[in-house]
Formats: sequence, C-alpha cells, structure tokens
Amino acid sequence: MTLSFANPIFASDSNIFSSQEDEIEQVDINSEIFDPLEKYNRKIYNFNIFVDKYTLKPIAKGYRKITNQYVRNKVSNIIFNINRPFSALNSLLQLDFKNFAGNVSGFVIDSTIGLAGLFKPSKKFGISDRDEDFGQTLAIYKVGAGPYLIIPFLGPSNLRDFTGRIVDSSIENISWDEIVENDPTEIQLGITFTSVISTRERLLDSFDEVQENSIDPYYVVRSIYNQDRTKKINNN
Amino acid sequence: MQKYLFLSLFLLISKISYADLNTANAYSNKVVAEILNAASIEEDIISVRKNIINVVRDNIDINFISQFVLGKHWRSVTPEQKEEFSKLYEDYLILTYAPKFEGYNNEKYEIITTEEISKNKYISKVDLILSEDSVVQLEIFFIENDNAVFKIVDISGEGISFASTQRSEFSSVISTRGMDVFLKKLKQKVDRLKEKNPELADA
Repeated sequence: MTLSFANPIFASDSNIFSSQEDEIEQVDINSEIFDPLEKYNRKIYNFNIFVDKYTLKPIAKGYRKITNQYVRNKVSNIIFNINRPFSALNSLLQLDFKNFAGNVSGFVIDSTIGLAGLFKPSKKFGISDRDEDFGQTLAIYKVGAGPYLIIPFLGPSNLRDFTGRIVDSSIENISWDEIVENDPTEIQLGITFTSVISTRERLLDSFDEVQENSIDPYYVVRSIYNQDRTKKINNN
Repeated sequence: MQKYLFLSLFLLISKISYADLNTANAYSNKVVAEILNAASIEEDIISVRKNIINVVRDNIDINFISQFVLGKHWRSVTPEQKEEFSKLYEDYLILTYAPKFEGYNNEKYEIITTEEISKNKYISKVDLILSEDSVVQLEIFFIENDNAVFKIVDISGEGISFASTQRSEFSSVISTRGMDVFLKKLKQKVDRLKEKNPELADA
C-alpha cells in the first residue's frame, strides 16, 4: 500500500544532508500562504478571540462538564450523518462516484440501523464517506484559494472556501424547506448550534495551547487551516 | 548465466531493502511503545513527564528539524544565531510537546504501514485507538542518519504536521519582524514554559 504523501518535509528525493538546503528552499516557494489582508485579518482574529472567550468557550466547557466522551462522540456521529446528503451532493459534483455512493449508503444504513446516526454500523462495511463541501468542489475544478480570510464569528477561511460555504448554506436552506413542512429555521439553528459547540469542545485544549505556546498564534492558525483544507481537498 | 546473476543480485537487493523496511517498521513500533509506556508508568506526574521527555529527546533529530523549521532563513542567519536558536528550540519543542503524551497511557495502537519515501526517509502510519469511536491517525516521519540510527523529524496528527506548522509560523515571524525579535520571543516562551514546569527545566 502506498501512503499518500503531502508532507513537505520530504518534498524531494534529494539526499537529506547533501542538498537539504535546496530542498527546504524549494519547499518554501511552494507552500507560502497568500495573505494580503493580514493587517485586517489580525483585527478580526483578535475580535473573534474576544467574542469566543465570553460565548462559545464557556458554553463548550459547560458541554464538556455535563457530558462524557461517549455522549459527545454520539452527538458528533449524529451531526456527521445529517451532513452526509450534502457531502454526497458535492461528491457527485466532483464526479467522485465512490464517495457519493458511500455517503448515500452510509446515510441510509446509519439513519436506520444506526438509529438516526447515533451509531455507525456503516463503518463495519468499510464504506468510504469523506466529508465534502462546495469549497472542496471548487478546488477540484482548479479554482484558486484566493486570499486568506478571517471571517467575523466564523474564523479562518479563504475566498474560495467562504464562497463555498455560502453555496452550501443556501443548498441546506432549500433542502430543509423541502423536507420540513413548517418553518425549519428552529431545527436548522438547533443543528448548527449543536455542531458549533461540538466542534468548539473538541478544540478546547488544542486551541488554548496554540494561544499560549505559539510565538504568533495567528500564523499557527493560518497554517493549520491551510494544511487541513489541503488534506481534505486531496482526500488524504 | 548472466540472467541468473542478475536475478540473484536483484533478489539480494530486494531482501536488503525489505530488511531495511522491517528495521524501520520495528523502530516506529519501538518508539510508539516507549512513549506510551513512559506515559503509563505509575509514578508521580513529574517522573512521568521526565520519562516522556527523555524518550522524546533521545528520538528526535533536532538538527534536521531546526534547519527545516527556519526554512529559507537558515541560510541568512549567523552561526551564533543558529546556535542560539537550536538550543532554545530544543527546549521549546520538548517542553511544549512532550507533556502532550502524558494523557495517553495504556492506549492501543496499530502500525498500519511503514514506507520508504526516498533513501533513508521513512513514514509510518499509526492508528492510536482511544476508544471504539475515536481513533487518532498519526504519521511519523523519520530518517536513518549516517550512523544507521533512526530519528524522528516530524509527526502529523490528522494531517497536520507539527514541523510544517512551526516552519510557517517561524518563517512568517522572521520575515515580518527579523531574527533578533524572533529569538527574543522564543526565549520568552521557553522561560515561561520553564516557570510553569520548574521541575522539568533541567530535564
């Protein structure tokens, strides 16, 4: 089995001692992040940190306190399952029929046997069900990332991914309107809120650590976001 | 006759390569087991941390990582700055990351595969099994140096490389504020980490 390789530390095949310096310079050229709005992004970053400190973070801490890991894993499973149809749609747009089939069948299996996604019996069937979004779809069609952005309240993104997020939200709104007879706004808000708190709880320790131990947390968050998106786009 | 000679040579080389890969795989198995064991020993938390720090210090190639994380700036800094950076960076790395492993005790793990990417450079993919629902996927990048000793140069968790993240951060700080300011900030961080963990300051 060949590992998919995306780590720039081994970017070239040259000898690690004899041409290490050339290798490193080559890697730097390829991996710089386009951030022309850094000055403004930093202001929004600091604003988001401030808002998070008094809103999401305490709620996430409370969520952690009143639940255990088992319960939190189940909540994550349910949210993942709810998002599967949208992942399936994006897989179809990307012409990734295997992941499309995986997301559809995974959704059906986990929604029924798995009790609305509480459990993941689909895992035992080895179903491929990667999380896909419209930002990744745009990337597959070679749309460049554009400038790095920090979105107020939402956090790190870039022009392409933020555009993708708007498209995803619109599709979700239309879908919920079709599925739910009455106004689905409350249901959607409930799901979004739960998803946000679930994610924030998972990041509690690592985010605190980045803030505390980094020389410049802004650059660390930027790098992590970029690596995470690259991994998702490359389906690693 | 020539055909058989070539075949024998090919089989011999294949066997050597397979032996190298086996050795590399055994190394990644050993180092993961060592770290988890160090975290599992039932001593006081300070002893656990010191044990983990010793394992980490023995298994990382600080020279390689130092050069990598400074990136394009490695060529332009003075030898004195390189030396100061290497000393500070080793402490920073160990004091920041070694304590992370102390929460992982008695965890099961599985080496999924080990691959040689190019000569003397290897990647091992490891699943750290925290629970039935929770598996952390790690990739351990290591090299075999001239003394045939394996050393770790990077670890990726869920696709996020610690060395790449630090390189991006350090490179950006040096580009915007200069090496002297960067070294000052790094020293402040190290001093703060040592204040927080005085028992580990000399570990």
